Parts: sequence; structure tokens; C-alpha cells
Amino acid sequence: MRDRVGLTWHPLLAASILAERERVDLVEVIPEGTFLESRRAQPALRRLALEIPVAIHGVSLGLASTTPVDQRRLDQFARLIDSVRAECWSEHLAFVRAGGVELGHLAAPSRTDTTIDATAANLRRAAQTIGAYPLVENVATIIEPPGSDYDEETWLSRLLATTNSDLLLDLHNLYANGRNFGFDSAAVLRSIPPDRIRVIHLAGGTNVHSSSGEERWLDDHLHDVPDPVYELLEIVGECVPHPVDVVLERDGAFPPFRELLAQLDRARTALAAGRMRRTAT
Amino acid sequence: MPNPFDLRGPEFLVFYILLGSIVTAVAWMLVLRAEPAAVTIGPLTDYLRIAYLRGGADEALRVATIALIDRGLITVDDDRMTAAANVPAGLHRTEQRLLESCKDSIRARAVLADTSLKVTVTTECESSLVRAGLLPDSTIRAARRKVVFQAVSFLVLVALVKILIALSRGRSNVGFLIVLCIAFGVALYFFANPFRTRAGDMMLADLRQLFRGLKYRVVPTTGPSGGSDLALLAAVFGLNALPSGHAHFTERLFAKREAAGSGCGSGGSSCGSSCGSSCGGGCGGGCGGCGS
Repeated sequence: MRDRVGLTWHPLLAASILAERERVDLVEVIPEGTFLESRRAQPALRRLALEIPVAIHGVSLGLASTTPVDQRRLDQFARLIDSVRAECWSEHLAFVRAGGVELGHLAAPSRTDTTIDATAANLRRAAQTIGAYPLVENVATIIEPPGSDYDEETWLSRLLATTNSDLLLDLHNLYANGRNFGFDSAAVLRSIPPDRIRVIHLAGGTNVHSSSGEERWLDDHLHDVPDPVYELLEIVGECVPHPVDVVLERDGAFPPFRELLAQLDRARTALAAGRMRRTAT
Repeated sequence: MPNPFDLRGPEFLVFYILLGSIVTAVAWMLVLRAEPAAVTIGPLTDYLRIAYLRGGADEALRVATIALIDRGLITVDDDRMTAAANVPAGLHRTEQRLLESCKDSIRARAVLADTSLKVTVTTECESSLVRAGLLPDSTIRAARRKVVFQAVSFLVLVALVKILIALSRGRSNVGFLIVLCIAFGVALYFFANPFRTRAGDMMLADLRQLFRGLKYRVVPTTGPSGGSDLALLAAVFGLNALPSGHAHFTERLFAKREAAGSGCGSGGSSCGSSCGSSCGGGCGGGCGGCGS
């Protein structure tokens, strides 16, 4: 086993990803919008999975919610994951609907014992339906979730202690939250149990200004990965003992594909540098 | 229910059309259901094999020509094509043969009339597609022939019985029935003997699903794109799916000479020329302007 570096699947990049198959170790597919709803589209994803390792990355379950996860959606995921034979599946530690209203957005939950228990219950239910616990991803937020009792680091570590789900650690989300709320993202990264980190997300973002003029770093997946995120990846290489999958998330404003490949190469270099440090110590 | 053989001529013809349609549909379904539909590894990015799978030898040659033009390995002047002097390594055998054919300037349409090129592309593509189960092998063809034979035999038998009954009753107006019988025989041959297997159809459907974004990724270029997106787009969705500049150029390139000539008149040559050179290095909008 070795570290693998790949990309999020996007129809606009499909031909380039497959043409550069030797430089893209895996793809992560967001199934909502096509593959999840259309059974006729699922064989295409299965065919893709025969060609390149595929991970399923959900955005619609809203697992970090006090509302029980929708069983119909879980059944859809179960059918898809079974049909595609994906390597793994993941979801966000976010809620996406409340009181019957779809937010259209991954919202960070209040960081309380109540949301930890509810999230753990949702994760158990998902695992019962699908047959495997999802990896859970930390989300970015530009406001501190109201009603929180804990900071992000504490809430995350308590949740991981409560559930069998491992972590899909989004380094850009960690970086964005650290920048927005003034904590040291590297220190938080070092506090996460390294044996629970399985997959890494890299992405880019940009500065936005609130109506009060405050500056916030927005995780938009439309920009190149900033340098500090590669530095966090080096720490991952240093701390995590087992191989990890690193996925570059890019949802639009696509540069020439060679530039995305260059970012994958840079991720490999950063991870390798961290591995070297680990070996040296 | 009345005995259908007692139906009068026109009524029996209606009955026979219904019967023939049902038999053809059943034969088609039997052929499809008998073929494996498992998802297998196929040529996900090999544009030449995909084009062959979709449209056979002629289509593969058309797409290969456009791919070589897009990569700047063939330049176009009016409807004549000339291969570039320097040929890179790693080309398909068909691409190499195409470039050899274009060493001395040739008309684009001549590519489609060149039997040796068709043999080359068929040799290169067909066996691997058959091995992958995407085109029918001899076993599948034999199974299809059996279904067609049984279906045709049934329809001929029904027609024969009716003809004998009609003749025994002193009627000889059986021409329409014979024509219908032959028509259903031809229809059965085509419906129950498709070019691709069921797995081949599924492969194409999957490719259209996976590469649906290509239509938006490939934009009209002003120079050779040098990439595989355009070739793959043409292979999966057909030449008509190319961006308007390319599509117009392609249509003109492979159009019959007289049709192209009548479109542009004396200006055709200058239009073709500018289109050719700009498409050889990537078909811009000037060509469309002249054509309109």
C-alpha cells in the first residue's frame, strides 16, 4: 500500500483524467445530481471504477444533524455503493436541511453533546444500511455555529471517540476555519488521532467580506491550493503512520489540466517530505 | 375468435402486419436478452475504437482524419489534405496509414473510398472490440441467424398457408402478401442482427454518460488543440457534436465535391482554403461566414 493522490471527478475533466490515468491514482465522485438518482447512469460509474479506483463522496445526507438521516436517501446510497463497488464512501459533518427546509449548503452544526450523540446515531444508521461506516469530513464555516459548547477541535475529537467512523480530513477547511477564527490549524491537526485519518482533501478558496466588513476565507473549490495547505499536508505525512488518499477538489474555473496535474505532483512532494521527516525521527 | 386464415385479403394483410411486427419485436428482444450485459473493461479513451464501435470503419476514418487535422498532422487546403512532414511516434496504425495516404495531397473523400484504409482500421479495431464482447463474435452471429431463421420461417409459413388457401378458393391477388413477407424478412435481418452487441450498446451509453461534459469542454479553437478532447468528443457523440466551427468544416470536408462546389460557387475555393488552413490549424468562424 502507498499514498495515492487523485482528483474529484467532474464531467468536464473526464477525458483528461482518463487520458492521464498514470498520474491520477483515484477519483472521488459526488453522486448527487446524476449517479445517485439515475440507475441507468450507475453502470457508467461501475465501468469507471473498473478503470480507476472510485470513492463516493456524499453531500446530501446531512449526518451531523439532530434530525434522523432520511432512510430513502440512505437506501439510494446503499444501492449505488453496492452497484459501483466503490472503495469507500464519505459524507460531511454538516446538516443540509432543517424543519423541512433544504439549505442547499453544508452548514456546520452547533458543537454540543446533543449534536455529537445525534451524529453518532446517524452514522450507526448509515452503517447499518450501507454496510460500512462513512468517512466523515470536517466542514468549513464562515460563522461560528451558534449555541456551541465546544470548539471545533474538541467537538471533532469527542465525536471520533464516540463513533467507528474515521476521518476524511479536509485540510483547506481546517486552514479556512483557523484563518477565520484565529486558531492554529497546524496545532489542531497535530491533536487529531493520526490513526483515524484516512483521506485528505485539498482545495482552494478566496477572501470574502461580510456586510460588517469582516474578512473571511471562503472554501470555494475554484482556486488553486494555497501554500499553507501543502504545509499541513507535510504534517499529515509526518504524523499519519499508514498510507492515505489525497484528493484535490476542484469544482469549476478549471485551469489547463496540466496545472491540476502540477498541483497533484506538489501534493505528492509535500506528502513525501512529511514521510521523510517521519522516517528521520 | 375467428380463424385468421378466413380473413378477407385486406383484413388478413392488417393481421399479417401486426403479426410481423410482433415477431420482429420478439426476435429483437430474444437477440438482446441472449447476449451478456455485464459491465466489462472497454476502450474508455481510445477514440479510434470508440468511433469504430459507434459507426464502423467509415466513421472511424472520418474521426481519425479530424483528429489528425486537430493535432496539426494533416493540413487542409479546400477539400485536399496533405500530411505533415514530421510524424510523431505512438500513432495508431490507422493514423500512420492515413498520413501515408496523404503524403501526396488527396481529396478528403478519397479516404472513405480507400479500401486498404478500411481494412487497416477494421483490422486494428474489430478484433479487440469482438474480444471485449462489444461487437458480435461468430457464436453470437450464429445465435442471431438462428433467431432470424426461425422468425422468418414462421412468417413465411403463415404467408404460404394463406396463399395456398387463397389459391384453392380461386383467388390470385397474393402480391401484397408476398411483398410484406419479403419486407419483414429484410426488417428481421436488420433488427435482429445489429452492428453492436448489447454490451456494445451499453458501453456507448456509458461513454456518453461519462463524457457528457466534453461538449462544454471543447471550444472552437483558433489553432491545433493538440489534445484528445476533440477526437474523443467526435468518437463518442459523432462529428455533429463538434463545436460549430469544426462541425461546419467537417461537413464540408467530407461532402461530395459537387455539393460543396454549388454551395460556395467561385468563392468556394477561397472559403475552403481559409477554412482548411484555419482548421488545419483549427477551424475558426471564418469558414462559417463564407458558407452562409
